[in-house]
Amino acid sequence: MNHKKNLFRILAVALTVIILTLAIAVLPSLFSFGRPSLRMYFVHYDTPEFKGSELYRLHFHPENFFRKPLAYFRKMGNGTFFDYYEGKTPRNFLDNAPRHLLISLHYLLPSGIISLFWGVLLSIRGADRKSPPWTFGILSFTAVVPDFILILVLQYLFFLINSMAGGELVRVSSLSMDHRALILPLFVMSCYPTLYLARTLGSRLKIMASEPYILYARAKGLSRNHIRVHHLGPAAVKLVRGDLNKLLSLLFMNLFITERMFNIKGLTAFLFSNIRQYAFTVNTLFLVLTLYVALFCLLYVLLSAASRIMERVGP
Amino acid sequence: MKKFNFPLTLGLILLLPILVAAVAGPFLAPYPADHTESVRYEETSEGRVIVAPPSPPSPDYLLGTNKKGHDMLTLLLYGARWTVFTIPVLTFFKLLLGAAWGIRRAFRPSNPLATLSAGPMNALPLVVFLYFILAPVSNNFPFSPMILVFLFGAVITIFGTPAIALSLEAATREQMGQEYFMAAQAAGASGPYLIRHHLIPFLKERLVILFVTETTLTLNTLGQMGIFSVFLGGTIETFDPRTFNSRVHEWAGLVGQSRFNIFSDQWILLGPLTAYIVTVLGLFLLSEGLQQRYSRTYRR
Repeated sequence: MNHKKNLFRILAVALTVIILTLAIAVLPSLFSFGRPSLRMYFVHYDTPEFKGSELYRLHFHPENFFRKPLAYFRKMGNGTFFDYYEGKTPRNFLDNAPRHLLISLHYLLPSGIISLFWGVLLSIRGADRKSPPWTFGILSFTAVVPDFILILVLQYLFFLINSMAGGELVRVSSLSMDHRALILPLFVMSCYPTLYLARTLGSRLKIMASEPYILYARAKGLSRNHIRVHHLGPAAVKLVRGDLNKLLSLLFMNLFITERMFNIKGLTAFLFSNIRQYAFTVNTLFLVLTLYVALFCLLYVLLSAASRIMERVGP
Repeated sequence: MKKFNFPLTLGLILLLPILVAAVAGPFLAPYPADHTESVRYEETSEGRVIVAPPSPPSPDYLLGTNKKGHDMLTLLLYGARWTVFTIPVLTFFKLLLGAAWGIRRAFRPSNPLATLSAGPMNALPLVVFLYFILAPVSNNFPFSPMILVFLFGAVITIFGTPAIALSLEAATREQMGQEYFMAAQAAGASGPYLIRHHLIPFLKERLVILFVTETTLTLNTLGQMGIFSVFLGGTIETFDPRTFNSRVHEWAGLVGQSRFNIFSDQWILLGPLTAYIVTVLGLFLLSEGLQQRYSRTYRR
C-alpha cells in the first residue's frame, strides 16, 4: 500500500514538473513589441529617448501557453524536437548539450561534496562549544552578501595578486572551454552552502548537544570525539539529508551566477543562448532538472553511506 | 539604563546619506544626466596630451567617468531614486500579499504551500524566471521604464510570496494558540477584529524585520539580473561595440554594466559597487538592530 502511495506521489511530482517546465519555457515569448496592433493588452507609453516609437505596442501573448506546448508535441511526433538553430546554423541538441552538462557537473559535484563535508564538520565542531556572539553576526551577514559581490571582490583580489606575482597564480576568468577558471568558482559555489549548513545545522546541533542521551554519554566519560562521531555526526547527516533540497537550490543558484561571471560555458550559457526557441528551452530545462535529480540521488547515497560508516567505525 | 543599539545606529547612519541621495540626487548631481566628458587637449609636463574618457577620479569628476564620458557620481545620484524608492515599494506589495495569504491560510487551512517550493523545481532560481520574461523585451524597450518595473515586481511577487506566506502562517498559528486569543475567539470576536486587535500588534515587529530582509533580497535579485545585463527599467543595448547599459542608472544595474572593469579602469566599478555594498550592509545592520530592539522590549 505504501509503495503504491509513494509511486503515486512520484508520478504526481513528475507530472507537475513537466507541466511547469512546459509553462516556464513559454515565458520568453509571453511579451513582445514591434509592429503596431489593435490587439493591445498593455498601455503603451512613449519616452523622449526613443523617438519614433509611437508606432510600437507591447503585446501580451497568453495564447502561447497552449500554442507552444502543442507545437512541441507535434515536433516530438515528427522527431524534430531536438533540432534548433544557432544563428542561421542548424544544430542538434543531443550533439551539443552533453558537453555543457559535463562542464556544469564538473563544478556542481565537487562543490556539493566540499560543502557537505565542511558544513557538517563545522557544525559538529561548533555544537558542543560556546561560540562568541560575533560568529552568529558574521554568519548572518554572509547570508545577505550576494554571490556576485563575493565573486567581484575575489576576482579583483586575485587580479591584484596575479599582477604582483607577475603570472597567473589563480585564474580569475575563463578564456576558452579548455582554459577554464577552477579554484575560484569552486570556492564560491561551496562557500554559500557551507555557510548555510554552518548556520542552520549548527544551531540545531547545539540544541541536540544538550539532549539527555548526549549528556548521559558525556557523564559516562565518553570522549568528546566519540560523541561527535557516534552521536552528533549521524544526527547531523540525517538533518542534512532532510535539507538536501535547500542545499541543492543554493548550489544551482550559485551555478548560474558563477558560470556567467567566470565565463564558463556550462548549462547557463547554453540555456540563455536561445531562449526564444521553445523546444530548445524545454529540452535544456529538462536537462537542468534531470541534473538536479541525479545530483540529489548521488548526494543522498553519499550521506547515507557516511552515516553508516560513522555509526560502525570507532574513533 | 538603556543599552546602546550599535547595529541600529550604524545602519541608520549608513542609510541616511543614501536616502538623501535618492530624494535630492538630481539637485546634488554636479552635472546633468546626459552630460559627457569631452575629448580635449591638456598641457602637462610632458607637453600637450589628448585626454579622452574614461578618466580617473579628479576634482572635476570625483568618481571618475566611464567609457562614454558619463560622470559616475552623477549617474549614481540620478539612479539612487530607482534603487531606494522602487525596491522597497515592490517589496512592500510582496509582503502585503504574503501576509494576507499567510494569515488567511492560518485561519482556513488548505493545501500545503511547502510543496510549491520543494522538489526539482528548486534547480531553477528566480533569476531564470526574471530573465525569461524580461530579457526578450528589456533591451531598447521603447516604452516607460515603469512597465518593466511592474513586470519585475509581478515576477518577484509571484515567486516570493509563498515563502513569506509560509513564514507568516506559522507565526499566526503561534499567536492563535495563545490563551488570550482563544478566549477572544470563544467570546465571539470576528475574524477582522481578531486580526486587527490580537494579531497585527504581535506580528508588526516581525513584519518590519521581514520587510527589511526582503528588501535586501530584492536588491540582491536585481544585482544578479544586472550580471545577465537585464536591468530594472530597461537596458540600452548598443552595437559595434556591443554594450549593455542601464537606462535609469539604478545602482545594481550600474554594478552589472561595469563588472568587466574589474581588470581595467576600476574606478568605473568601484563607485557603484561601494554604493551597493553600503546599502546591503546598512539594511543588514538595520534588521539586526531592529531584532535586538524588539527582543529587548519583550525581555522587559
